[in-house]
Amino acid sequence: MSSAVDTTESNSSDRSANLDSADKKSSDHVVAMLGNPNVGKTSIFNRLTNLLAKTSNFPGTTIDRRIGRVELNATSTITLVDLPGMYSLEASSPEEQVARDFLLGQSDLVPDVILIVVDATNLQRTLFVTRQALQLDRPTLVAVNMIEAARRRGIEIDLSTLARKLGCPVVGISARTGEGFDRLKSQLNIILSGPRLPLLIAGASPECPPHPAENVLTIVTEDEASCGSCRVCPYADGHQWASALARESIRDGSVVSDETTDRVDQFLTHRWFGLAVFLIVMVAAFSLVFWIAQIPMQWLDDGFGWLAGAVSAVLPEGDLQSLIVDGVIGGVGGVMVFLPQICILFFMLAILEDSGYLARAVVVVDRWMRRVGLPGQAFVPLLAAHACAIPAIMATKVIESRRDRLAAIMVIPLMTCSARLPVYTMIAAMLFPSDPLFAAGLFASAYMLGMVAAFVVAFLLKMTLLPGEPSPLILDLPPYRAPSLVNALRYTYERGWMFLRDAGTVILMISIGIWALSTYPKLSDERFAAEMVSRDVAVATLDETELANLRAAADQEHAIIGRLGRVVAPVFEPLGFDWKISVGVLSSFAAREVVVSTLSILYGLGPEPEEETSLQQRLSNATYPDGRPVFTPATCVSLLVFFVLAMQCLPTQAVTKKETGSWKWAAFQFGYMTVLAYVAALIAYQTVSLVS
Amino acid sequence: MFSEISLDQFVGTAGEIARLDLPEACANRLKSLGLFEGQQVLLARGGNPLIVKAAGGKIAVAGEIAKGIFMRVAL
Repeated sequence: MSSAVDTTESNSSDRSANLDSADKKSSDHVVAMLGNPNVGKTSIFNRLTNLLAKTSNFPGTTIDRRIGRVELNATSTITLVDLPGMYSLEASSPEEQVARDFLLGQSDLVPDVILIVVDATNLQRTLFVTRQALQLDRPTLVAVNMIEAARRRGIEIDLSTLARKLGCPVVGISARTGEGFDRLKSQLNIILSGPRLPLLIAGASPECPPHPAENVLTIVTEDEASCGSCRVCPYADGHQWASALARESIRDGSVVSDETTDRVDQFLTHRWFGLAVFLIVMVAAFSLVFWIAQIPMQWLDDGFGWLAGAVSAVLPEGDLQSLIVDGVIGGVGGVMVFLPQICILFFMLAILEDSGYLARAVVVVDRWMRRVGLPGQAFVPLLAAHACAIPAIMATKVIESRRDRLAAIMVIPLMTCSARLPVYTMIAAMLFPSDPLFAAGLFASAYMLGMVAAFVVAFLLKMTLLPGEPSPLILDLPPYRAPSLVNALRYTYERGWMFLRDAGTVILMISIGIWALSTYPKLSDERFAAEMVSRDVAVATLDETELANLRAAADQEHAIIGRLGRVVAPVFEPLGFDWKISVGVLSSFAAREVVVSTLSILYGLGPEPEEETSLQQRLSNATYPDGRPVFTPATCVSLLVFFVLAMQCLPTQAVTKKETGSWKWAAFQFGYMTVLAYVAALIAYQTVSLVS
Repeated sequence: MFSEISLDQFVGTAGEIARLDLPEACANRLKSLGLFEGQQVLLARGGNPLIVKAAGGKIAVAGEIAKGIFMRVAL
């Protein structure tokens, strides 16, 4: 679970080689940090690296790792690599495989020291993987984290006994308070600067000799028929060793009380109470996301408006001013305003996960989700998809079965991501300009439509392309804990920055492209005059504003985009779209939020910057040449339905390709969603047209 | 004398795992989480998914998995 939302963007592995060379000086030693999920590795990493870390991928994979530099003292610096949290090193999951290869020195960096993190409040559990790591026979340091939390519960750990039994140095630390970090650094320094001492192999006894390092991690694939000998049953062996060692190392001997966790779990994992709590938590979280985000979104919106005004004032009127103001600021600004929502949603997810609640939520929803062919673990990615499908698809890594993962990846883009919100907002403003309650209802319906479509498609996939049942749930439930604000903020910052960088660059390019397509080639004055004559327009009778509007429309129709629009318009006509909307839809196949900036550019390019009207007004006033309004209720609903269901996001397609390993699935995703969107929008348009 | 009963049929709060009759990947995952032959477990919640406690951890397992976890019971 700990990696459920801890994912990274798609293309970072391409850059990881550069990152590594930049991060790691040739003289640096490499320290790999290993441990179970939920032992506080992230907090330790953040504290050691002072929050200065880079997230990249293990070479050739989409599994992320964080790399940071740590100053041990004035003369010594190390490169710290945070491995994915794991329960064992058998290489049964991709994460374990990657971590195993890394620890064995079969990756781009070779670890000089393994730093194993165990949980003082649950030694027995977390020592199991420790033994496997010790059997790799590399210089090792064990950090016993949450030592202060253990003390509060009356657990006193005998660190020297533990060190003697493990055969390596042991340091007690607290990532929350910073206790023991000086000792941790000095111990690392001693190991790195001292001569290599032969390591005692943990758990070694005459009747159960240690396995050679290269074999120890693969023995579970051997025949288990003769289970009973320690060689083929390393699990029982390892757990019994961990349990015995934990007993011997806990000086106090008092039993860990997790009655509170049990009592809370009775409630939160209850079939019906649990579901009610889950729904309340989700509704509260989402309301909070939208409510809090309003304020910074308004600031951003005002900020971009001010910037556009300032640039217009400075730059002389002409193509350059139009490019910067209409193309760059208008296009990118329209999307950047969603950053607050994305950040707040990820912050909430991080807090919920860190608290231990998300794992309980998975237990509650599993029974419902598997009916449509999705495993409970798909719930976290589906939730994250409401911010953005890209990290959500990356987050499906927690799902082990390929069938289940594919099913989740295929339906994730149907969830309403933040990029759809500008479109929903635009349509809600046109349909219900003065009725916030109906506007809210429209939003809720759009969300519901996306979710229902996702479940229906998942069910259809289960019946057809991806037959079979989702793999049954096996999930570790971490103890409840006060979530770390620092970790959540750090995580939010990483996600927000990725959105800005990846989405920002794509959107910037598309915005500039759309601007250029709708500006060139230019219509000459003679040609305009000739056109007006051919249309029987008495130019002389028009006032200045009317003439300018007419000129702007003629310019656009003459530009490449106008010609393109007329070509594709017949395809979208049955959905009630005019050529400008058709162009908007076309341009948004690369990134859906672009439709707002495209429509803003298409309906907004023209005269009268000082009498700027809102996009909503411009759209509501838009008419066909014969005077019919463009945005009738039927067209609005049809447009909404289309945008809820269509696959319009190139970066998501790239991630789908990367995560599924083939363009086939990305193409299928694009194909089925486009057909679904078209047919549903057609039905919506025709139905609403009939009714009204 | 002992007999075996699958975890989903198991009545009581504590017991010992007799054997796992599950696909290898599944069984290995359970074992690395501390559910292996001979392990003492506590049943924290029945139903589907059910929740067991073992080796200092708390694990939720689906009913289908529980059908493959056999508990030792005294006759």
